[in-house]
Amino acid sequence: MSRNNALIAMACLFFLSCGSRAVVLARQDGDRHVVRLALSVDPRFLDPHRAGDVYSARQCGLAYESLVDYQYPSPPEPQLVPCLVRHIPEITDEGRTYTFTLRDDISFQDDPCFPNGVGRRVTAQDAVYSLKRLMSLAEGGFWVLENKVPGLDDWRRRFLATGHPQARDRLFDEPVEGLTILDDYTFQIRLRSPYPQLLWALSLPYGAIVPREAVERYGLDFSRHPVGTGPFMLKEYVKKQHLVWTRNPKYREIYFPQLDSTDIRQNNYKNIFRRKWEQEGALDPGDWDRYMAPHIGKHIPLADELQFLIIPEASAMWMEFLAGTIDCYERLNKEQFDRAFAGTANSKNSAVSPDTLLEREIREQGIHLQICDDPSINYLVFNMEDERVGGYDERHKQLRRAISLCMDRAYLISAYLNGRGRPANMLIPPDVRGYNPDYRTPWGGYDPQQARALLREAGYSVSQNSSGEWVTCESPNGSPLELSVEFRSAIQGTRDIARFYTICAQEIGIRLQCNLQTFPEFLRRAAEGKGQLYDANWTMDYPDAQNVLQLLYGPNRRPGVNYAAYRNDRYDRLYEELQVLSDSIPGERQRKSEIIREMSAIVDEDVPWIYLYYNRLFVLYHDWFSPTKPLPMSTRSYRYAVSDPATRLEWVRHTNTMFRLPAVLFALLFVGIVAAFVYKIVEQQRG
Amino acid sequence: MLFYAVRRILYAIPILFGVILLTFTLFYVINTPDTLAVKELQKAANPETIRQWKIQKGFCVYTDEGFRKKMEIEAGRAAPGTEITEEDIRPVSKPILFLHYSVDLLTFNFGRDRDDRPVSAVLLDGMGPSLKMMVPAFCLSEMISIVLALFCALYRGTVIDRAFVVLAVFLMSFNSVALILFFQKFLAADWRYFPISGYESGLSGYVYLALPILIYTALSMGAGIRFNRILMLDEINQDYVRTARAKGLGENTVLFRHVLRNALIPLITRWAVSIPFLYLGSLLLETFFGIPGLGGITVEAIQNADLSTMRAVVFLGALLFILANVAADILYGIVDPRVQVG
Repeated sequence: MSRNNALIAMACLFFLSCGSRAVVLARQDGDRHVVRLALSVDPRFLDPHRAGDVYSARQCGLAYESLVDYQYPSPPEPQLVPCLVRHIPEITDEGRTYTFTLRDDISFQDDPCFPNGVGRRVTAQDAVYSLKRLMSLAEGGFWVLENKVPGLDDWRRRFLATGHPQARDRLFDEPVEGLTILDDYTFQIRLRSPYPQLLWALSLPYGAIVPREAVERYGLDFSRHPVGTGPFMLKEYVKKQHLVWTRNPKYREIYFPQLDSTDIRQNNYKNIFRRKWEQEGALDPGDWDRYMAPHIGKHIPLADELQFLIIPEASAMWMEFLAGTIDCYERLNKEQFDRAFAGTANSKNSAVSPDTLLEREIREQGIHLQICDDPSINYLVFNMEDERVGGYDERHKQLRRAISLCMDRAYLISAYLNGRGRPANMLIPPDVRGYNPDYRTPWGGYDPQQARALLREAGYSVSQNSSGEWVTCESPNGSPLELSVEFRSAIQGTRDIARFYTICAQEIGIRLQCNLQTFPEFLRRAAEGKGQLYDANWTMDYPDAQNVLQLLYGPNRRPGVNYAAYRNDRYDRLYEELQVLSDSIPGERQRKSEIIREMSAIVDEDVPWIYLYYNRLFVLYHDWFSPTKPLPMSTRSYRYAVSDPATRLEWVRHTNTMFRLPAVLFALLFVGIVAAFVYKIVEQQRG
Repeated sequence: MLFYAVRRILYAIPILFGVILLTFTLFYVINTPDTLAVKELQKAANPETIRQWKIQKGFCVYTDEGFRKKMEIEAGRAAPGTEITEEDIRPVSKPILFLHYSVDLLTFNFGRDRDDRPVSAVLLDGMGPSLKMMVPAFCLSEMISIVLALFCALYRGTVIDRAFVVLAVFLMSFNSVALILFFQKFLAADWRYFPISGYESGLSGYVYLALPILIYTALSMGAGIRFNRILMLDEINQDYVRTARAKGLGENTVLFRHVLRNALIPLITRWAVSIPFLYLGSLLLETFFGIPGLGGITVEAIQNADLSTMRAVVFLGALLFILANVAADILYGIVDPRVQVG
């Protein structure tokens, strides 16, 4: 073969080896059940004690487990079930002492950090070590035990002040007053005062048990080298490319969804559990057939492998989803939504069959839709120390109420979010104990006329100029009222929302200046109290109202989580009372509801926040993918997901066929240009 | 020649010093350490973590009293509730800070990024994919644009020449994002000639890089054709070309041995300016195709206010730019011996 022919052959081979990634990956899967998903960014940490963001927390949920976990399928009020412990811990001493008994069949995954590379049994020593380690980190989840356990905060202070690594290691061997090991599998946490949220907090990745050997061996790299007790082990992690998790062969005997061998030995166990879940309200009509029946009794995890491809750009991720490379997609932007959905999402239709919302073309490709409420609230925060918008006098309260009344939440949700939200009626999101769907904040409607009336009552001058635009001034001869809102990003979605706020404020004659910041800059300005309003969002860590009510608690003032710097003595006293009340004790639960009502009324009087909307998640998935019933606050639901490799391979083969005509035309054009060039040179040589 | 080369290298030293001073001023003088700490620590920022960050990054040291307190806490002898406070640390003076900063940069000790990874390792990881994409893309686009410029020079004034000029202007005026989306949608998603996105190390990775390379070539070819065409036309009308042809030299010899060689000086200048940017990759292409290059790392560092990574990228960029210019100066001397005299 001449050199030119060889080059042409290589080029052809290269060209043929290109083509769809979906087909290549589906072929590689063979008959293994591989779930393939996409992430827009790398998880920051694979260390559960530092996993403060959703991406990290979900990845950590694959390799690590906590003492307790969310029940699956979840009843309307989420419940905890034992995970690494034998039973839900015994609570004594008026809620101050928790005694945990670990299961004796839990082992860490195999890893070179253990002698002979074999993962050892998990003991109470590991649990106490993990709690100390959580407190030893400058960032992450130390807040879940901060000021709660006697001796632990002093231990933390000593640890952080200690610079020498060996001295730091020795500190882990020192006893802490509030943490007691009773035997190999039993330990106790003693609290300063009742802390009913403790178990919720320990169900977060922060409550994961980590082996000391791995932390010491990998040092700072431990955050990229997970060694846990969970259903998956990290097989490969190439930053900015992919994470591959494979089934942990040492994972304990557990069957879908959370059954043990005794459960599945019962005759007719499927019907028994079906009835139980239906009685609890954990299954909606159709859920049994859709989510439970195909898998019940199968070994957990359902998938052999989980692959997460890092695809930063939403458009590329969308194209990969349509090509079948990834199994599901949840980052829909407005353009993609317009393409995939027939009009704006409507909750009435979606309750019957969410798929009816999809365009026919999308439905015909075997793509389905799942809709779920996200336990989060989007809101605007007033800087209560700002001289224009802050303050507790009637004039400033009226101003804040007026701004709240000018926000057209229904329009925001339909026009800007394609229906992916619900107007917020109180500061506690749905699916959280204390949320009351019948409660209505007096300032949650859209009424610009009333808003202008409130401004006039408060002494502002509101009038229309010659072109019909409303102008609000501080006083009749004062300058127009201009306020600023700080945003945490400058992406298109944020710009759209900023434009919406501006338009709404114009309705009452207020000029809004929207400052689109980077996230670090936003946090800095909020922490330093620079700015008048902040665009904010809070996603619940656990389904206890305390988690969101703390955002307005006076002592949590910035740089803590209370960015509004809101202070109300009555609110603070009620919060202090509420945070020690348990939802599981009927009398306390009743009192808690009363407190939440009173706290909501106080917030509605002072208006330090404008409630906007609660998020709803729209997830598209392919026919071969079996999604999980939504379990919003859990980070461990991937263990219940699975894909069918044969259906996927057939689909991607059928869909991803190459369209050759343009390539042929381009090749002809290229050959023509080269021929012309050669002809001209030959002609000139001859001439 | 050696003296000339040494002189060019010596000229580069004050420029490098200037770069270090400028970046120091930008990162360490304009912003206070507290501001930088809040930006980098983000949600983890609290008085305790900020204080630790300032000590760890060398902005502050313990006072004698603070050091005594720290030792007592460390040994467990301190009274309960004893804490290190702001009074227990003091700021390091700016000249000392600058000295540490310069030594760190000149010894390529860039520290750790906000996720605790060594910055040098992060940059090395990112540099590979960037170079793997950009070097072939750059070579291909330059090669094609030179060949097409020669083609235009051959057909100067004809319809073909004008057609290529129009094509060049069209490619230059095309919005990069639009072209990327267009190519990605049609060539990858709809016609399935290439993967939509992704990356793999090793030679097999070129399957994923083929489309980004093609797009880069298309995007940079317009300016290349325009620039090289003018260059070639300037040269092709020179007396020595006429003389060469009159001597009976073939058109190949005239074009490739005489015209191309004489056009090299402006080309070297262009390449010298372009080459340092190759290591930074192309932010847009990397983002759209999920290539884990330095462009993405840089932008991520800016978004996350990752000081260590930002200063390393700025310093390396400046260093490469200086080195490329020194190399260009030396190459001028080789290509055109008259340059050394000047």
